[in-house]
Amino acid sequence: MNEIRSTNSVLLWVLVGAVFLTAPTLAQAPKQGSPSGGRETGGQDESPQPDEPLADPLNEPDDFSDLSLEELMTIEVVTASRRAQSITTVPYAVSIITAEDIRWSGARSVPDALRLAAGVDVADLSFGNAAVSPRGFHGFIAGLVLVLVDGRQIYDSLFGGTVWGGWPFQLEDIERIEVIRGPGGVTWGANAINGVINIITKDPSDQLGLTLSTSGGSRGWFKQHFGLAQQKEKLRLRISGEYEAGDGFAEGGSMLRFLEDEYKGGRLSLHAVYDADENTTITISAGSAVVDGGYPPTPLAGIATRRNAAAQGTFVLANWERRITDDEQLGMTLFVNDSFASPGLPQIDYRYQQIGWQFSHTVGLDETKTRTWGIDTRVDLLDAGNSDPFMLHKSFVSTVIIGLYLQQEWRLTPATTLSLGGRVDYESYGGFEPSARASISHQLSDHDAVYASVSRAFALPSAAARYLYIPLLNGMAFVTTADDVDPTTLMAYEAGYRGRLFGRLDTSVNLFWHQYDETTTLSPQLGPPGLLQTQYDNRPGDVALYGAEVEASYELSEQMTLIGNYTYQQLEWDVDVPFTDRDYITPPRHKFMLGARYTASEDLRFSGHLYFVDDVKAPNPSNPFLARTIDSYVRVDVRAEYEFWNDSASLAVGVSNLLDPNHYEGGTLFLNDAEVPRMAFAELRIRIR
Amino acid sequence: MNHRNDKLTRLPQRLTVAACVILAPTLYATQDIDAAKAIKVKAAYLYQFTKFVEWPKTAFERDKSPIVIAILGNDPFGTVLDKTVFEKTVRGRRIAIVRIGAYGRDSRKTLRSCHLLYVASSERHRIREVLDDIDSQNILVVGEGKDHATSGGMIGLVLDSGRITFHVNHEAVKRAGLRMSAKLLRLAKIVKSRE
Repeated sequence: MNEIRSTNSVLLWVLVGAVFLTAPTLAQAPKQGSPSGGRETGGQDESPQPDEPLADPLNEPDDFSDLSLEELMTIEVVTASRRAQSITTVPYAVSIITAEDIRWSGARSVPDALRLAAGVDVADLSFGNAAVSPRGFHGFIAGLVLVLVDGRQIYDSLFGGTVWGGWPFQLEDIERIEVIRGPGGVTWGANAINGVINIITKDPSDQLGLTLSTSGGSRGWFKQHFGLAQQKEKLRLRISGEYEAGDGFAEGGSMLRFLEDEYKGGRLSLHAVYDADENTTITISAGSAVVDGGYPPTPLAGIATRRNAAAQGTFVLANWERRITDDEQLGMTLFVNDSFASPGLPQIDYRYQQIGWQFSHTVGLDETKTRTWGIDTRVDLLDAGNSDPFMLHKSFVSTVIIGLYLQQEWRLTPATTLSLGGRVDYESYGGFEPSARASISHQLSDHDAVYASVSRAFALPSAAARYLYIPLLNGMAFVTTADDVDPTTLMAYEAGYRGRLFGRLDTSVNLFWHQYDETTTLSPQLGPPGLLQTQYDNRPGDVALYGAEVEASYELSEQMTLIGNYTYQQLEWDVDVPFTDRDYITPPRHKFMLGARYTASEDLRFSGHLYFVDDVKAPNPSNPFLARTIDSYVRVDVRAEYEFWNDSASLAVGVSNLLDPNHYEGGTLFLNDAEVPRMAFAELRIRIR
Repeated sequence: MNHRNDKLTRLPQRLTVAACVILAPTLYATQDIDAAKAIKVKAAYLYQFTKFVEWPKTAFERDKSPIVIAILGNDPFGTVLDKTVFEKTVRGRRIAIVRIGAYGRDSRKTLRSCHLLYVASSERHRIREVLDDIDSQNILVVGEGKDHATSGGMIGLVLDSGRITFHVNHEAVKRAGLRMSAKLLRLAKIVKSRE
């Protein structure tokens, strides 16, 4: 009841706020403090006569002074009749989610923002964790996608994949998220198999001044954020931090089913960019996140052994970029990750450190040929010795991987580019593993291009998949792994089109066929050791995923933009062991997103996003032997934002999951059930320059 | 199973409501005014350029002297540029805007005292004269089109596939004694002066 009252009161405030905010806009009150009357002229008697249509700022949406150079370069300014559209001939299925997109969407987290991209499967599992992966295979730990932050890999040493809750992601600091669907193994190496999610943070020069924001909403959720960015000569610096807490998604429960996913988390980041000279940039960043709770422990934890989930992640990154000539660049990145996680099971309590180093060199050989080569390495040091009684064969696991790659592009004709790339990785456990990609792209016109590619990529078995050894029920049952688990490999065939249809519709269409080999699952079998063991191993059988991804954007007017995407996926899983035994959620066959973004006036804007996701099968924490069906759901998020004090402050209100009191989006063996509830929120943001 | 059927029954209803919620604002949609958007983007670029270009200290009279943006020719910005830089500071300096009007003898003094010179389309044909006039001054010369940077200007705002990008003549920037950040150079298309 308290929760209901809390939600109602927030909704009431939302309505009151909307009325309050809309009133001055309806009255068409001119903006105070506008300098438009203060024009200076110098040396000329006659008034200037504009040679182009004058802008009318009173009737326009926001100015673009807060946008970064990168964002300015993405703004379409040409009328549809000119049939012009930005097109990249990159032969990948790429989606870009900008800071503006994130703001419009009302996303609460990075996984929330990723719902905007076609082909990315996102399922909230609890307040603090989500299953995320391009092209299916999403689960609590999605092991077939590589996540990068400013080039730094976020890859869990024990389970593989990304534990989203344990790193200092701050939405306010994100410049854009690049989602590459399909294999990116040639450039990024192991585990970039179904895709790469590259999170790029803002240059501090785009956030100069002090930014403060406070948010609150349903389920006791609140967040306070601060950011301070300064620029001094060649140095640009940002320090930012936030604290977030909430009662979680879940509520109720019983003695046997702990549903609490109460969350408390703090994040702190430092980001410094130094222009050593005109051609050299050095970036240093560091950050830390501490999280208490966030997801409900699995029922397997039992009553007596239950404890809170917790995580901590700390990193340091240094990046050096040098432009030797206009056609030749060098880049080097060094990073250190330190992570601790305890997912609420006494058996699972681990810490790891990673040291990564990456070097790349791009050179234009002549006007038709560009070559990129690079070398990178990562050392993982995993300590699982604190798990009780024990989790791995070895308390400490250390692995080293080193990769060398070479890619070259040939411009065969002014419109046709051939790209070939190869890479070989050596890993201390699995030995050598190759990756390769061949693609051809052809620009049909200034605004239309097609591409086709064939690629090979691989995903290494995680440390857990190699050394898992958990005795249960006093040694009567075990969770183990086979002696020699091979990497999962993928052959992918892709083709795509990007361009403008019917004069006004920016569109991309991608078709893909993924053929997997050496897929791995956990599978129960009779002992020894013990009476029963669930063993992790490669499984023979054909596994394929094929489908289509469509993205579209339609700028109805200066004030209104419609966006949308649709994804079709079909999984062919001809393996004896069920797909969900891998702790993955099946890919939804159909899903789509529709969004509308409306700028009502210079200071007021509204947005709505609708997501439909088809039904899926997901692991069942209450019955590990039988997957359960998660019904299809429709999720609608709406948001309104009003800017005031000359755009220095804004107040946003919104509701996520507006039409549905709650629904499941997925499940995992590791966590208890948590339905995604309807949540109302409000955010006040102040920027002092 | 009943639960599932309920959901299916309610689905069209929910989709209809959702579509109404999302599409309702389209009723208020207005005509395209892309020229206005282009002006705003260009104004934002001018502001961004002041952040990523470094002038020597001798280019300013005092420590707190403003960065002066001069618009040569018919001003396309209206009040947009004023609004874009309103209350903005770059390295502790405010940004002032000066409109020069058509190029002529009277305008030269003002022109030489600015830091960023935007050459409007109306004065495009006089770019050579302008560049000769400000030779060796620490002035960043920004103009329109692909020809601007290859004609000796420094940054050309270029319409490329529906977006506004920029070409940089790095040699000309260096000759003017200005330092351009690596980030700006990375995002720009680098061009050279035509012989």
